[in-house]
Parts: sequence; structure tokens; C-alpha cells
Amino acid sequence: MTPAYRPSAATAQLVQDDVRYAAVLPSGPIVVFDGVAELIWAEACGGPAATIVDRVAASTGTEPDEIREDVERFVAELVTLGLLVSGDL
Amino acid sequence: MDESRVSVPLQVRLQFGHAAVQYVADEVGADLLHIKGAAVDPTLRAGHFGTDVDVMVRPDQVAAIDGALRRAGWSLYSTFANGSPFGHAQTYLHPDWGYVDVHRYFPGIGLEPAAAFDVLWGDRGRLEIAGVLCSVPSVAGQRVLLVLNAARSASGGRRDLPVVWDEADAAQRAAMEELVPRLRAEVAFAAATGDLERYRGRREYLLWKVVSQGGPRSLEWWARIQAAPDLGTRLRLVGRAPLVNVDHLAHRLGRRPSRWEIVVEFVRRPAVAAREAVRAARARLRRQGVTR
Repeated sequence: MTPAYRPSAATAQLVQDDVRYAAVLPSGPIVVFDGVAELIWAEACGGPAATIVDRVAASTGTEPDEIREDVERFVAELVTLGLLVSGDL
Repeated sequence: MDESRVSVPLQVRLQFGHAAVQYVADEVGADLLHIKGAAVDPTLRAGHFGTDVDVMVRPDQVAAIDGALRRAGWSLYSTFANGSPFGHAQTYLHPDWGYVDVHRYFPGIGLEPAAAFDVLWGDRGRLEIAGVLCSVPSVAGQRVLLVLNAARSASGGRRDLPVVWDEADAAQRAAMEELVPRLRAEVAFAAATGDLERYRGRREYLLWKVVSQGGPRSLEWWARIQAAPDLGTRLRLVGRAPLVNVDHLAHRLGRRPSRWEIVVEFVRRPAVAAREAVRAARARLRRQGVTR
């Protein structure tokens, strides 16, 4: 299974105390992902695109349709920032 | 996501600093060894990452990394000439990554800088920092550099020594003792490990005695001139001794100094040196019981 997304070649990242820090090199800035933001990143890079919203909803106890638009916009924003790219190699 | 851009712990920021500098070096094909702080093997960490990023660059690639860092948003904070009396490192500042010290050689290593870099590079290891692969000296190399670094610190700044030297086992000490002569770093190494008197006859002896144990600035300059490997270096040191360090003065003032302030500093510095010399002489007399 190919994950939907992966960090771009210019993305530096680390996780410390359940918080993910990521930045596009070499200019930055460092962006902090905690809570649901970290969960969305992990699911975007951890499974197929079609089920990202379902997996986030299952982990947060919400209905997929309640969060679909926000999750999809958030992932799109990460791609626009250059932090994530399509998982297809 | 602007709110998420606040509150990044210093230790996290420093790791990104290493990653960012490595990224820039990769773009221009420069060889870097990441040293100290976040780049140190976890078994050698004395519980801190320091406050800046330190890297050694292959000496003939200094200009390449200098240009690449400036193009990528770093600004020059202090120069080789004015950064430290050893002239070994140049400091850059980036608004997101903080300070990075780019070393063209490491104080205490007597081997010619390019050859010394080759020795450390030949034994290098790899360490992933913030997801970016960085080259680091071997663990024995890291130990040696941390010991040499401690040799430049007053006793209070030697927090790495207990881990890297005092608590090292026989095999770890043997690995260091094999590397030190290859780097021609015996005198500075001994200054940190308490064995300096073995090297009383070496031209670097006085320099490392003053640097490791303290002494007046005037004596340190004299020791530097004595330790210089050749006449050209000696003459350059003699010429530099009375100059005002404009970078340091600017950082102290928080702005570029005026011509008048540079003149005042020029006058003040010999006065400070003279005062130190008088104090040292008085202390010597007191030690000898001549005065109280």
C-alpha cells in the first residue's frame, strides 16, 4: 500500500513529546503540529487518500462528514506549503 | 497555521539548524562534519545541546558554504578574523535556525586543516537529524573534539569532560589516544586532561597553559605568537594584536560603532592589557611573599 502523502525531499521533521515539528528547508519556518494536526499528518502519510478522513474521524470519535472539509483543506494546505507531496513515487 | 509557528523549544530549533545547514551544503556539494550539541553521540551528551549549531567544513570549501548560507538567508554575525582569537570559526545568524558556527579548523589540532579534516572525514559516521542525514566524526573523534573544546574553557565550562574522558573505559581512552597524535593535538588534549606539564618544551605549551588555566590577555597574545608555526603567522598575529575587534564592539554596543568609538576602543584596549599586566605582576609578587 502506498501512503497518500509523504514529506517532501526538502522537509525536515521530528517528533518530540507527541508534537511534530516540520519545516521546508532551507528557509523554514518551523511549523508545530500537535493534537488533531499531528493526527492528520500521521494519517495522510500512513494510508491511502480515500480513507484519511475516515481514519481521522475514527480516532477522534466524530462523523467523517463533520470533519471532511476541514481535513481535506488542511492536507491541501500542507501540500501547498511544500511540506507534503503525493506518495506516488 | 500561524499560531502553530510559536513556541519551538531551543533543542528542537537547533536540530532543524543542523538539518538546514546540511541541506544547503548538499546543494553546493560541500563536505560538512556536524560537531557538538545535537550532533554528538547520545552516549556523550552531558544533558544539553548548547545554544548554536557547530559544523566543520572542508577548508577549501569555506567560500562555497559561505555563499550558499548567505543566499539561503543566513547573515554573517562575526568573521574568522574577529570571531575568536583562534580565528577558527565564522558565525552566521538565521531568523528561524539561529546561530551556526562554521569551523575551518578546530583549535588544538596541529595538523594542517585540510589533512585534519581528511582524518576526521575518513572515520566519519552518519546521524539523522530532523530527518536529514548528516556526517559526524567517529565517536572517538567526537570525544577528542569535546576534550579539545574543554581545553579552551575555564574549569566551570568543562561539563563534557566527566563523560568523554573521566568516565571513559580503557578501550575508549585507547581510541582517543590513537587519534590524538594523528591530529597532532597532544598539547591541547593534555591541557584538558591534566597532563600538560609533559609538553613543557613544546611551542604551544604556554598558549594552552594560559587558555586552559587563565591569565592576562597580554600573556595570551604573547603565547599565541610563540605558538605560531611560522614567521608569517607570527607577523600577522603581531600586526593584529593592537587592532580593535569591530565585530565584538558592535555586538557590545548593539549597532555598528562610529569612527570615534573605534578610536576610543583602540585607546582603551592597550590600557586594559597594561592593567592586566600590572595586576598579574602584583599577584606574582604576592605569591612570592614580596608584598601583600
